[in-house]
Amino acid sequence: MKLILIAIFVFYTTLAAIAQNQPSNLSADDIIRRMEANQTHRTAIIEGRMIIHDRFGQRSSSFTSYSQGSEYFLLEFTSRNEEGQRVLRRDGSLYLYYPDARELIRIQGAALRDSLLGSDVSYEDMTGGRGLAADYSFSLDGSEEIMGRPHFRLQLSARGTNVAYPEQTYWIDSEHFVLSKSQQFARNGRLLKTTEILETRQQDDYHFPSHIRITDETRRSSGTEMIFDNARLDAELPPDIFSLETLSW
Amino acid sequence: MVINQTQESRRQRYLPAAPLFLMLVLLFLVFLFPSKLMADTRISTEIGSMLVFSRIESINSFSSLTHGSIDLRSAPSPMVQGRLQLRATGTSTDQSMPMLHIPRAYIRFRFPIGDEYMIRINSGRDRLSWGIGNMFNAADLIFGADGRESADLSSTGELRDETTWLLSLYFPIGPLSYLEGVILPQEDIFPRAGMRIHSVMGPISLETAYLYDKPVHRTSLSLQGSLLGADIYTAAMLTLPESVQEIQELDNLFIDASRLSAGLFRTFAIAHDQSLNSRLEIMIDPADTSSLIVFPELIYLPDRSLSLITRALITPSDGSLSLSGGAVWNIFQGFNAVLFTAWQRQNDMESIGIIGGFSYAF
Repeated sequence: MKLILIAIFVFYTTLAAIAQNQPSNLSADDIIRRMEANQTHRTAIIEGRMIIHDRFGQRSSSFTSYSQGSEYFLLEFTSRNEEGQRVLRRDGSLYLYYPDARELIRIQGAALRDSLLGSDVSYEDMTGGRGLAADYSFSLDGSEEIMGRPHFRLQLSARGTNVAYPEQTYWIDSEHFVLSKSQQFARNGRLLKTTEILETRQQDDYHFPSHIRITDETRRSSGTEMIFDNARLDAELPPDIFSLETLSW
Repeated sequence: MVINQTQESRRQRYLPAAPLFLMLVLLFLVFLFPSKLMADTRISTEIGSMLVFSRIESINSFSSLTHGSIDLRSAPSPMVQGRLQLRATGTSTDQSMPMLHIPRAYIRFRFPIGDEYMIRINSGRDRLSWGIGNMFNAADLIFGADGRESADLSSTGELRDETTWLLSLYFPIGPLSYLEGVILPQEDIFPRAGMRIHSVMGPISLETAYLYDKPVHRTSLSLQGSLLGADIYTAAMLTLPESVQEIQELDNLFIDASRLSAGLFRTFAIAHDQSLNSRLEIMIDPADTSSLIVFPELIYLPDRSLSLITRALITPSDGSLSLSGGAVWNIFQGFNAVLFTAWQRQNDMESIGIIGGFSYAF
């Protein structure tokens, strides 16, 4: 009798554990957390391009980024016009380096939301750091199919006024927990920006976006593309790479 | 900028004709016979063509100004970098040879010291930015606290771009701190030499420096932090005579021999894709409060390719005022249209300048 009761207890405990991880039982917080876990790696080296579109054509900048967890990030521009410019994020601050001026600028606070090279991507967007939970509360709005795949649809509402977008909608792949699409809204509900993930890549246990298109809904023919040409995860990084010395080399 | 044309000429270092000819031949050969070295070397070029109007005391003048630069950089390397930058400026009012100079020509390399440390050496002509401040920087012991002589008021980036011949040694002390020593050779004069220590302590960046600049000693302290969403920075410089007797003759060391500067910078989000960058800097000699100079600056970015700039230099004590305003439009990648106007009143004399044209970097 005792053995039967133990077996029943183990059975239901296991069933509960399995059910806990079923997509249909995940909370909005869980979904966001798993999406962010996909984007955070022990270390990563990514080579990519940023293409900015407007009515006069396009501007392209290439970069190499190095990251360690979610706390350390170094971005180096490798394209001709920006060559040598670097951005370092560590210890909650952002450091910019301009090679011609040999100047090292530390930015904090509101300046983190400044546009990177006039794109639709801010310094904060590019270098990460703060999780979404610090600025937004989440609610699960249902599910939707995109490109034949099931997605969670979540609503993000800003906790305060210190954010660029008071309201956002996220569509997150139910199986891979990768962001497929997002929309950013003004306080009056006007659609400001749409972000679409055109390609994703799988490496080891990680699924992450490799081609992103950001469309400025307030200006026709305006937008930004981010393309990650090469990604190495859990790569060996040079020692002391996240330092002012490397930033200003 | 038309008001800065004479200032630009003061910065020139004329090249003798023979070495210039050899340099041009060398560049021609490099382009004619590409090699692997050529493939790894980064070459960028910029050309600007401007029309200039100026009016000084009812005397008008029109001229055309063309400037070009070639920038040769070594391929990216973790241990050695080299750079050679050549600039030429020609005006329609001067029929002689274009003015040529070399703003940058240096070699930088890292060198291991033992198993754990790496030092960096920079030798040649380059820029060092000590302290912090766009126009006024009391902690800039190398190029001076006052940037009015050399500042380019039509720039969308850094206003000051002075360079000098130097030998510097950079020694990292932890990830956010470093020690830098420098020797600055001078013709027929004892070289200037000094060092600075830069460190980050929580939200504050701190830097202290010393420079021997015969016959005085200069020392400085600068701080940078943020408050209520704005970046704030301040610097103080103390200039001490060499002789003890001269120091003793000073009534109050920290007032009579010092200079102070301070600045405030904040970005305001106007709309989701528009921003306004605002900056205010001041500089003053504590011993002479009439020396106060104020520099306000506003840069409005209505979209990703257009910058609208307004700057002023105000000396309240004598009422002198300099205003400049203009626009830089980045039409295509590397291609800009520029239009600036400037008005200046000093010692009851007024002058106006307008400069407009195009530049292309490729």
